[in-house]
Amino acid sequence: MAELLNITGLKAGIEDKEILHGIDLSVGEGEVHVLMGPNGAGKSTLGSVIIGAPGYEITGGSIIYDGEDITGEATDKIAKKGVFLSFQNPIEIPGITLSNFIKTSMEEITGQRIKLWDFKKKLEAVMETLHMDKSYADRDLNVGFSGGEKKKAEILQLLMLRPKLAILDETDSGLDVDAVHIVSEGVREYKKQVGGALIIITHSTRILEALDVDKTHILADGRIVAEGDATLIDKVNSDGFEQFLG
Amino acid sequence: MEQSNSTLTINRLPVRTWNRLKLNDATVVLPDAVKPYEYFEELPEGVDRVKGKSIGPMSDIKIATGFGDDLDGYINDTGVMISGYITEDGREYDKPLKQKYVYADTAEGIINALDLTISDGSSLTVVQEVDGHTSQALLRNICRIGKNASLTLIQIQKLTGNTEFYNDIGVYAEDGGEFNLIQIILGAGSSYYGLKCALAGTGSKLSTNIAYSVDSDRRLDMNYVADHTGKRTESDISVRGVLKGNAKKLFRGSIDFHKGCAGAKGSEIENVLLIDDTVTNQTIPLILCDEEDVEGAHGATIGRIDESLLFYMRSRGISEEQAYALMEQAQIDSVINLIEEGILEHESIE
Ligand SMILES: Nc1ncnc2c1ncn2[C@@H]1O[C@H](COP(=O)(O)OP(=O)(O)OP(=O)(O)O)[C@@H](O)[C@H]1O
Ligand SMILES: [Mg+2]
Repeated sequence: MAELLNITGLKAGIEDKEILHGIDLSVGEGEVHVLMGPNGAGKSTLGSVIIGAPGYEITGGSIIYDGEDITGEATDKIAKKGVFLSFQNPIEIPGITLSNFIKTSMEEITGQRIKLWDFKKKLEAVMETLHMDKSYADRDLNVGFSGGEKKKAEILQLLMLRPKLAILDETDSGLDVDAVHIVSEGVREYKKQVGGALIIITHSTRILEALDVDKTHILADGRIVAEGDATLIDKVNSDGFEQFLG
Repeated sequence: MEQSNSTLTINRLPVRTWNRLKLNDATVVLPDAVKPYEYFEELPEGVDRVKGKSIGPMSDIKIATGFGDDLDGYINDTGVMISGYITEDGREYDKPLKQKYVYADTAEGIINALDLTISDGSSLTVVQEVDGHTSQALLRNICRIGKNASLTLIQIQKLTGNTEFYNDIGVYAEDGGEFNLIQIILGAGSSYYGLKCALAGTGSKLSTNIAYSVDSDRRLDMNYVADHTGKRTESDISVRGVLKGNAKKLFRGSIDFHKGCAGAKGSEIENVLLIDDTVTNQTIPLILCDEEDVEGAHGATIGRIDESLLFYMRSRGISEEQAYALMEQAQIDSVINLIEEGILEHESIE
C-alpha cells in the first residue's frame, strides 16, 4: 500500500528535555496502527509533534506526510492537508457552538462554503449514529460536556472532517461500556466511509473491537521497543509491558 | 468665527472613591451650536409622537441620567427640541418602534433627545441603530415606565471614523415596571455611555445586556447605575466585551441600595476578552448599601486566548487569525443572539 506517513529518526522534546529519542514509524494509506506503551512513554508527545504542537522542539529526523515534509509545519496547515488529532483532553471553547465550530473547521479544511441546511442534516445524522442528543449542536463546544461527551464530540469531528490520517489519543479512556462501543462503531464508520489511516493510542482493546489492526507498535521511554501485528496486543494484555523493557 | 463650546463633567461615580486614579468621572467638551439629526423612523400604529415635550401623567417626574446634571443643563441651554413618545395604556405592541440614525458630517454638533413614556400595563420594544460618521453626536433617551409596563431598548452603534459619540439614558420605573436594555457597541473613535435607572416602584426591574468591541486607539467610557429605592426591586447588569490594540475602556457599574428598598437584589458582571496586552481595561464595580435586607453581587472575568485553545482550534484547520476572529465574534454574538429574530434586518449587525 502507498505510504502516507513516514517518520524517521524523530527526536523531539521540550526545552532541554528530549522525550522522543529517535522514532521510526511508517503508516500506509488506509492502514490501522495501534500505539501502546506505559504511562509517560511519549505517545501523546508523538501525536502532538506530528501535528506541529507548539512548545515541542524537534531536534532530529523528519516527518513526511503524503510525500511532503511537514516537520515543524504550522498545525493548521498540517490539519488542512488531512491530518486529524483527537485530543486526550479536548479543550473547551466558550462562546462557539459545536455546530458552528465544526462548520467553520470544515470550511477551512475544504476551502469551500458549506450550505447551512446541508451541513445541519449531515451533522444531525452523524450525531445520531454516535447517540448524541441533537441539542448538543447548539451548546458551546465541550463546555460543561462530561469526559465521555467530549470524546464523542472528537469522533463526531473525525466523521465530519474526514481526514486522511487520524491519530486518536486515548479516545476510549473514561468511557462507559456502551460509549466505548459507540465510539468504536464511529471509528469503523470512518474507516468504511473515508478509508483513512489510523494511529490509535490506547491502553485498552475494546475500541479495537470493530477494527482490523494492521500493525502494533510499543513505545517505551521515547523509543519504539517492539513491533508486530495484532497479536502483539494480546501479548501486552496477558503479560504487560515488562517483557519489552530492557 | 470662533466656535463656542461647553466643558462638562459626565459619567460620575455615585461616590468619589477613586480619587487617585482619576476615574471618578470624564471631562468632555461639547459644541454649543447643535441641532437634532433627521432620522428614519418606523412608528408602530398606536404610539403617539409629540414634538417638543414629554407627555402623559409621568411627565413631571425629574429623571436623572448616567451622564448626570451637567449634561441635563447643557441640553436645556442648547434649546434643542425634545421628541416625546407615548404608548396606549395596557397595550402590548408586537411591532417595534425603529429608528435609524445615519450620520453624515454636519457643521453643528448633533443632539437627539427623546422622551419615551411607556404607559401603565403596556409594553414596547424600541430599536435605535446608529451608523455613519460625524465629529460629535449625542443621543439621549429619557424613559418613563408606568405600572407593570415594560420597555426593551435595543441600541446598536456602528459608527465609523473618529466620531465622538455620546449615549445617555435615564429611566424611572414605577411599580412592576421593567426596563431591558440591549446595547451593541462596535464603533466610534470615542464613546461615552451612561445609564441611570431609578427603580422606584415596588418590584420594578432593570436588566442590561451589553456587548462592546473596542480596537486600535479607540476608547469607551461607561457609567451604569441601578438606583434601588423601591421594595423588592431587581437589577442585573451584564456586560461582555472585546479589547484589542491600544483600546481603552473604563466601565463603572454601580448598584445603589437606598434606605427602604427592602428585599432588593442587584448583580453586575463583566466578562472581557483581552486580545492584546497593550489594551487598558479598567472596571469599577461599586455596591452601595443603605439598607440591610438586600443582596448585591458583582464579578468580573477576564479571558485570554491561550496557547492550548489556539492549538486545539488550529488542529482543526482554523488559522490563528481566524481563531481570534471567531472568539471575538462569539463574545458579541452572545448578546446579539438575545435580540429577537426579525427585529433587525440582518445586514445591520454583520
Ligand atoms: N509540555 C510538557 N511539559 C513537561 N513535560 C512534558 C510535556 N509533555 C510531555 N512531557 C513529559 O514527557 C513524557 C511523555 O509524556 P506523554 O504525555 O507523551 O506520555 P504518554 O505516553 O502519552 O502517557 P499516558 O499514557 O499517561 O498518556 C512524560 O514524562 C511527560 O511528563
Ligand atoms: Mg498520553
